[in-house]
Amino acid sequence: MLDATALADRTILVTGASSGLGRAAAVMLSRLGARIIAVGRNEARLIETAEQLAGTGHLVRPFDLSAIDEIPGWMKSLSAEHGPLRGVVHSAGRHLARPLQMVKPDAVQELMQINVTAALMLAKGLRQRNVFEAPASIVLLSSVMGQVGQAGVSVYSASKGAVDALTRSLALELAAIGIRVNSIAPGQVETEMAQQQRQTLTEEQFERIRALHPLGLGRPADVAHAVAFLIADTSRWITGSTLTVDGGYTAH
Amino acid sequence: MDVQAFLAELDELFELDPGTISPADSIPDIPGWSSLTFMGLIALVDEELGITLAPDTILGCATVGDLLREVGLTPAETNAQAA
Repeated sequence: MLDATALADRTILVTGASSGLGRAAAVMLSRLGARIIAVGRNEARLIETAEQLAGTGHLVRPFDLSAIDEIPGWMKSLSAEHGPLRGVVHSAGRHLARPLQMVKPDAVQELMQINVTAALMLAKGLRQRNVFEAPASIVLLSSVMGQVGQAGVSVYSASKGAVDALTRSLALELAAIGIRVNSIAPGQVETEMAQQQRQTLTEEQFERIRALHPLGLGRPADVAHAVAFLIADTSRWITGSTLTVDGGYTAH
Repeated sequence: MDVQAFLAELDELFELDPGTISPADSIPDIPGWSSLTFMGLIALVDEELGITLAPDTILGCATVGDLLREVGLTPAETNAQAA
């Protein structure tokens, strides 16, 4: 059952905790008793997140995930200092909306690095001896764009499809050592990132997106509840799955 | 970025021969004008000029020249840079 002690004494690392879904997830997990290691690039914004967390003992650890080679070693030192991790939520990610003629290889690499390679390296980091304590759970933030297409977002779509595929194979590889791996595919959620995207859309284009969500646009807490479910033992028999949280977007 | 360089980027976005688009052209009549190239134009202005252009601003531009003025580029500025 998910109550205020569901995650008591469990340390959960949350990437992208400085804003949006990562921040919402960190707040939700803290309310269930988790001790949060909030990770992001912007320390000031991570501190803002920390101020919203319930309970005590949380940590703010600025880190740039584009330094992918350093991720496993960094996780080893985190756990040596603060004890083993019981979960990782990877919410850091990039979005890219470009017609194909404007897509540049460098931008593809950069996006794939954060959305996909960093996810893989976080799993690699967690599976090390003494870094995790079983049962543990990894939740990767994917997107409905990993399941359905949209013109102009091919790079982003490809990265999220890769996240879902990664989820399945990692789940099989890590099941034996007590680490579950799942992803969440949200539809359009009203976050700061979405606000920025909205500024690049006409009112008509935005209304069309809204209309494609039968239950309306999502709130960060809608996704954070799903994260909590997948991190906690409530989902102990679920691994390798992608939980769609999209207000009906992909039901069409 | 000067006017000529920006126009060259527009030619590339719309996949037209270099030198095709000129300030007098009507934006909605540019061959290939679509929601995708619209998205691309916003990205182009953001990447090359560091300006976040509101979609309604673009829709309010009748000609390429109007758009150039919105992003702070005018033919006069090109001459000044060349001089």
